[in-house]
Amino acid sequence: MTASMTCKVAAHGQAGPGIFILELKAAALVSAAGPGQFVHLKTADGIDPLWRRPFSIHRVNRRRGTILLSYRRIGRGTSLLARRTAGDTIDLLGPLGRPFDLEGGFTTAVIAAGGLGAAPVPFLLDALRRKGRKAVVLWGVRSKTELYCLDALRGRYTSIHIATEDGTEGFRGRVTDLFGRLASEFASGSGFRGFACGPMPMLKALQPLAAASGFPWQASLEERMACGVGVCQGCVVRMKNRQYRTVCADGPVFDLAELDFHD
Amino acid sequence: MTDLSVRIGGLGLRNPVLTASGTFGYGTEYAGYFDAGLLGGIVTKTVTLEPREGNPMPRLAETPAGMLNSIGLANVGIERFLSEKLPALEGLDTRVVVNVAGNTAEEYAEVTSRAAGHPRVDAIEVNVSCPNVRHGGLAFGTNPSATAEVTAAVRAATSKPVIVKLTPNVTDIAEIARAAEAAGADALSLINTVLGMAIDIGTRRPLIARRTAGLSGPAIKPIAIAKVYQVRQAVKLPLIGIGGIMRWQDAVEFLLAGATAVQTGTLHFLEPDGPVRIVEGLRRYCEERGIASVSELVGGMIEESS
Repeated sequence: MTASMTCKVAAHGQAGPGIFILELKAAALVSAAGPGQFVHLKTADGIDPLWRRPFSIHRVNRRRGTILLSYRRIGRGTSLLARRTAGDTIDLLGPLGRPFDLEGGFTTAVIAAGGLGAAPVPFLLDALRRKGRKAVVLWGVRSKTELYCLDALRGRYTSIHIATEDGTEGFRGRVTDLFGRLASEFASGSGFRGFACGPMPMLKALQPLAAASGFPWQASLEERMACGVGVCQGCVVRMKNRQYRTVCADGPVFDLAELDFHD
Repeated sequence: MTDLSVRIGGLGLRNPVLTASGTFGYGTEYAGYFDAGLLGGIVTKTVTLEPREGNPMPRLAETPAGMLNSIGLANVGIERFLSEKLPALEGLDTRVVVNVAGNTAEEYAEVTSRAAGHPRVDAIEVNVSCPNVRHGGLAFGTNPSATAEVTAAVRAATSKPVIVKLTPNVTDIAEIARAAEAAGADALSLINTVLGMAIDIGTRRPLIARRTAGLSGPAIKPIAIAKVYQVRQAVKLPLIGIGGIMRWQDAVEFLLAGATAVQTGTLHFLEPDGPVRIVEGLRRYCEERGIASVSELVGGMIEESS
């Protein structure tokens, strides 16, 4: 059951250049939400901007009864959101969408994230650790100042590999190049499951590498949305069978192999 | 206690607020947010004879006080609508209006006869006004004789109330309204979206893949009010006002201009339970002014200047 609710801002701060982490009091969501799901926020009280803005859940804090979101300030909606301070209230719909599938037999998660696509990864890692699964995180950003949530990624069973386009940290290049270099580590194929989150060009570049990896990959998509619940049909993605699926309600998590990026 | 009930061409509604086609799915997607029984009725997404995948992405753009959409009547087709979607509406205690479209008048009639044959369906809304498809839709609704042809075909296919949904993208909407009335419509709903376009000045590309799209939201409300007022002068049929209704005050404005009921659309994307708040606002407005029946407001704008 999803619901619209008014949440109090518990904390809000900058975590990198134009990158913010927003913590919302939302006790009902803590147990209801799964990694990969998102919430749909009203960033303004009136009609400017008109639409809500979708944010994947960055992490939940069970002890504090909060959910954390991370986002980059890029337009009017996120600029208005960035002005909210502790104690303010925000109207929220969620949790929405289908979460990552963590069932079935795998021992190690291979997680490829591009830029702010890393937003749902801490939540995913927390869920994997509770299941006793290991994780290898590959995170690509433009420059090391954008590595805004490294502490939230670190933990037991987890190894982290960084790629920066400008070479200021880790491997110089994109996360897909980094995966290509490390692919031999996963060559046995069995026991692995891939999770990818990031912009469409990254997922498109990753798709053939994932297909060659020998293990299945899920991808979490980013898309502009109006309704967020599958009603307006405005945020669709083409599948290999030529049918469209809504990112908000059928996704945002899809089988990477089924996505058709050639629309 | 104000009586909020209204009648639309033989169809009794608990109150004058319905949800507009394409903004409420097949009626169950928002089930978790509020009880649809609190509304006058729901209008389903457009249903066509065959399933349609709809238009390529991007299909949506946010604009000042509005939005552009070019979904292209994506729908599951009448077969799956009847077998998968309609049964889920059985439990809803509200009026169910099925919105229909087709490539030809015959297709409109066939979808109508199959949908209206189901006991759960209370009325048919005829989409001759979608701006986002090449055939059907707007092509019928911008021409009086084509509007009449489709209306007559639908009329012959059912005895249930027939509501014809009009486009504002015409020179004289009154002429189209009269054609629908003469062809046997029981009511008219207006307006569908206004043809619009937006361009990204960075990439020089249109923001919508199909380039032009339908504009909805508060930006079009004054256009819709004017069209309702014009059509009110031209026909005797009850009207359902649509266009940028975000608050109960907007609904009152449509009633005063001549609408008997209203539909909300873009509102749902911001406030899923918005239509229910509009019903409550209407009730308060009437009660505070001692208005016994909401239908007293219909066409109640005072014309003479003081």
